[in-house]
Amino acid sequence: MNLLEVERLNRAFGGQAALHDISFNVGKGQRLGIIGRSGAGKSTLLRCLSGLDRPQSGRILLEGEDMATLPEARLVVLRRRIGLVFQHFNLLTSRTVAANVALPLEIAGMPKVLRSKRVAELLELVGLADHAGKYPAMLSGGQKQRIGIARALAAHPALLLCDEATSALDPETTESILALLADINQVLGLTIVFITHEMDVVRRLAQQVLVLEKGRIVARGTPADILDANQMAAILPPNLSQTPQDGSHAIVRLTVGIQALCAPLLHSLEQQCQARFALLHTLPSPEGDGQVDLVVQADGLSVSTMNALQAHACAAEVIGYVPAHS
Amino acid sequence: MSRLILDLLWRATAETLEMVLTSGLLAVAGGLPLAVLLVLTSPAGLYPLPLLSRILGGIVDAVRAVPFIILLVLLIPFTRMVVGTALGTTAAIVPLSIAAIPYFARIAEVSLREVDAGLVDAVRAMGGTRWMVVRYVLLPESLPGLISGFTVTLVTLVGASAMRGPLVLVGWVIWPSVMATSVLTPRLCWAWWPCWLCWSCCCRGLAISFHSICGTHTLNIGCRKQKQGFYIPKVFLLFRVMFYPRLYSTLEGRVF
Repeated sequence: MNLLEVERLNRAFGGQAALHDISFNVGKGQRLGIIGRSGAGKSTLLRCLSGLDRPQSGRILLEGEDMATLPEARLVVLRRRIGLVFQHFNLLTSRTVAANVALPLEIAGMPKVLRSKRVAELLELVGLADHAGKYPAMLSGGQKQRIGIARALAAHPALLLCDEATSALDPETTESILALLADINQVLGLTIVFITHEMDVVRRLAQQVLVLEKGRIVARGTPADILDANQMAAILPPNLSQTPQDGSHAIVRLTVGIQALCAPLLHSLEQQCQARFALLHTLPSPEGDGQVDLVVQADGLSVSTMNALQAHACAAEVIGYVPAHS
Repeated sequence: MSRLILDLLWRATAETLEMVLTSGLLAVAGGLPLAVLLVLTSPAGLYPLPLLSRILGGIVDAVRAVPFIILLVLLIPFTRMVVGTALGTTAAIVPLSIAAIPYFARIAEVSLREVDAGLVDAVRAMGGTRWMVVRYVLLPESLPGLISGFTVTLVTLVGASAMRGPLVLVGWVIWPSVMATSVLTPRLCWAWWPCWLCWSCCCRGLAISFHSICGTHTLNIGCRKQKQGFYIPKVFLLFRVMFYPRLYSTLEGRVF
């Protein structure tokens, strides 16, 4: 059974749809990244997932309980199954580091003795054991986020939600926080759902990715797929169509071994296929090392030329067609 | 300084402290829950009850909009009901508290609203109830603002505690003089209001400086003589005015 199931989620603010028919599942122990530009609905989605906001329709099942319709009193208890990490840390300035981490335990009603033991354990986990007595204002951004993560983990949540957890941090700190999150996922088997606007974060941390745009999921898959699709979208000409027209050129993607580039590859292909190729772009292949993707525009392509191409390259596929004059 | 002035100073200081601290504490006891209620029930709050919020806000603003000196008079029957008398230090605490509660409530409300909404979200996301949000976030995080709001309230109360002095002056000095002016020189009637304003400013300044010399003593003098509250017949007031110059000259003679 999936830990988190989201079905046909809709949320609108004053008639303006912020989320539209969002559906996805997250299995136990998975790391799901949700990426999108600002205004895409990421934060709204995260607020719904954390039970801070209710959708107008749809279901959010966390361990089989529907957060969208649960009465407030039971939702309060269900929220304790979720740890939330914030972009701006949201640590209480009036409490010490240890007291901040202890807060979810206090809320859950854990006795004081057990609490301090658990806090020590968590501070050890995030590597800040000697900062227990300090106040958040005395810590750096990265340290604050570590405390934020320790606090989110305190009450043994089933799901860790991260809201742009690294967006306020410098690249090196981002690196270490991502490593910590990956570590937590590995060691504790904790399910992580995070939202971000940085492709890099998704590439490093996510196993599965949802791309959100204007409140809809426009793509889903592994980070490699999404990254690839993103790069392709940036390269391809805007007048690309999916059906060939009279005299249109095909855009072909060829995956070749890196050593093939040492020979005059396109020239020999032209001769063998009786077609003319123009190189548009090269990309590192998502298939793995030692391979390169070439995006070429082919003039005079036929079924037999495609067969010949497939014979000479590792893979060849037609992405679309552009009118002849372009 | 003479014995009398020292005595007056000591007594007046003690009475000022008693009045200001008691009504200050009552202002916090009444104003803080009111402020929390205002924040929680506001439309974007944790327990939105817009109607209640609007009614409470309206009452708070209405009380704050009434000048203290008017409130003092309006509350005389209520004060009598609560402490049995409208005179003396204890009686002064009632209108002072009533005025300070909405004052402190608004100041505290601003501090409470300034608490980062992210912190409220954090505690709610941990599974905190609304009460826990108030206890763990709103109150501790706004504490510095609440404390400075409390001191501002205390200072305002010190100022307000001098208000019974001018009340007496208004009753005893201004009204009779205005009456006299309008009776004796009907042609100068148009000058009535500027005169009144000048007078009230002077008297207020006088009363405040008097207050600063001997604390709340004016208040007590005023209270003691104003046995029938604000409803003393005007003629009677005219008679009472005669006491005032004598009192001042006595004090002046002793001070200088």
